[in-house]
Amino acid sequence: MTDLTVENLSVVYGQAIAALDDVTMTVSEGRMTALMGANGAGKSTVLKAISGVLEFERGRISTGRVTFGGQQLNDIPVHRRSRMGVAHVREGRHILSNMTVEENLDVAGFAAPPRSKAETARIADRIYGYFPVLGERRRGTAGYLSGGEQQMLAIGRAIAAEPRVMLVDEASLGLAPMIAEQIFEILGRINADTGLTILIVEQNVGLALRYAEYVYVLENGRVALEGTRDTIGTREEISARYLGGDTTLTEMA
Amino acid sequence: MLRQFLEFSIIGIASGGMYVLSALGFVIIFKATRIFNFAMGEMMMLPAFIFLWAMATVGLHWVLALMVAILGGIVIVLILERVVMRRMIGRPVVVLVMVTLGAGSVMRGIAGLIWGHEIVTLPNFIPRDPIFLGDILIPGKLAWSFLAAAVVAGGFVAYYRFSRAGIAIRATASDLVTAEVLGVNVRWVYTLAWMLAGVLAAVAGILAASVNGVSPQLGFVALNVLAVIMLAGMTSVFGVLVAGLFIGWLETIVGAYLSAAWQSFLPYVIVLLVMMVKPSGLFGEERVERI
Repeated sequence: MTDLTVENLSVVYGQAIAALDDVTMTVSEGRMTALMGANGAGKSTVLKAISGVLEFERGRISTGRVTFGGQQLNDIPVHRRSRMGVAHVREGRHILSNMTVEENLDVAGFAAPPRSKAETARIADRIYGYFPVLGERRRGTAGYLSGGEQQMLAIGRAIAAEPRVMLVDEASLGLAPMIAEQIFEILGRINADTGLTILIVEQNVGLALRYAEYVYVLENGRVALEGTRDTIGTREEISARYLGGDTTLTEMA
Repeated sequence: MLRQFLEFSIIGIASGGMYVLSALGFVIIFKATRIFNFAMGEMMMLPAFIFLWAMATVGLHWVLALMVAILGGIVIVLILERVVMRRMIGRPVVVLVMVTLGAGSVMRGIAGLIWGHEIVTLPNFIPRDPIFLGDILIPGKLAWSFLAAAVVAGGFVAYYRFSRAGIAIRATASDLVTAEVLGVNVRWVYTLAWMLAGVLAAVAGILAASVNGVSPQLGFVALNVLAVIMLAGMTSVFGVLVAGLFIGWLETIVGAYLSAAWQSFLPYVIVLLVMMVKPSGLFGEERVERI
């Protein structure tokens, strides 16, 4: 079993600011799971606690634990978690802007055992298969890609590490609806093709409900609602109840 | 007239080789860790003394002495990095500057205690027969030193550009959290950057000492390197190659045609002018960002 589990997790930033309060969730192997909630609900913090990035943001787990494939991750450094198969596509893309597209993919090789040139090329080709525009611009400087292309590179780069679970934070943020749709469509395809476990944080309820099989909704750092896509309710209900009724988040159904 | 100018120019460019090496050392540490290392000069000076000791006191062949000095340089740098600098990551810039200045003073003090404060000449180990390019004469010591600097700098740039470790350093320089998330052990990158700088500094120090002798003050030569780094832009490896040779050339030409008094500050005037027009230096990376 390589389920990812979060048990009774509480997280504080600095010494005092509580971001998560007793959150428990399971991301089942091979499934796409969505984590939703209003701004400040603690969605990104869950991903940061899983990948370990919290340590770079003065955050720490005060109680609870994160386990992956039965192994507790709490005290494992970030780079070792990524080598264990945890890939984190952070909000804001964070591409290595002065390096080329190809080099960005190469860096992800650090999370995998050393590869031959042929193996590296095979993996790059697989990513260019999902995102042809990256293949066309493979020798171009990543900083000059458009926002959508940068998001594709951030996701492609995570896949280049051949992870066992991929955390994707706000993939649609700041993108044109069509591009966001395209990115989700590819995430769905990757999940279907390879069985890669994916946990997405998403404010666009329509998109999330369309692609994720299981959904958690966070409110003020706690799990307020969870269920399969078919049982959890309509996007209007979720938006009205948990996202402050902001219908702009649901308009692209 | 033209021949003389060419001769001075070649001598100047050759003397820039040492600047290139130590400036590369500055830049690699700054890129990887954002620490501006004012102890670079002392990281040059101590291996020069170790080289002198290994050759003159122990009686080793210069090749072995060079290896001992480089190893010694690496050990010194590792102590500095592990004991002092690693605790300082993320502190305010002014604290980092003071800490590296302090570390440099301590290293100078220790060298003075062990080897005294006089300038000591290194035993001759570089051929002194002049080399002729056509009818232009280059002093042998300078020519061989430049060749050595070129080989080491070339090796470094190839390593930085094409090796797996080089990619890790560049990724860390660009965004350390992202590098770590992608599986790069950023702490290992910090150590590696310091070690590379240690090797560059050791070779630069021994080359500088072979021309001017060694004393605890040898490190002050690294202050001239600041001009190189400012001109190049703090983060540009390619810029350092060009700017190092240019400053070497400029100093020699100014010294030859004006006077030593001009030589000591004219390069800085040029640097100031460049900085006023282009604050990131001639080749400094401006962050590529497209919103």
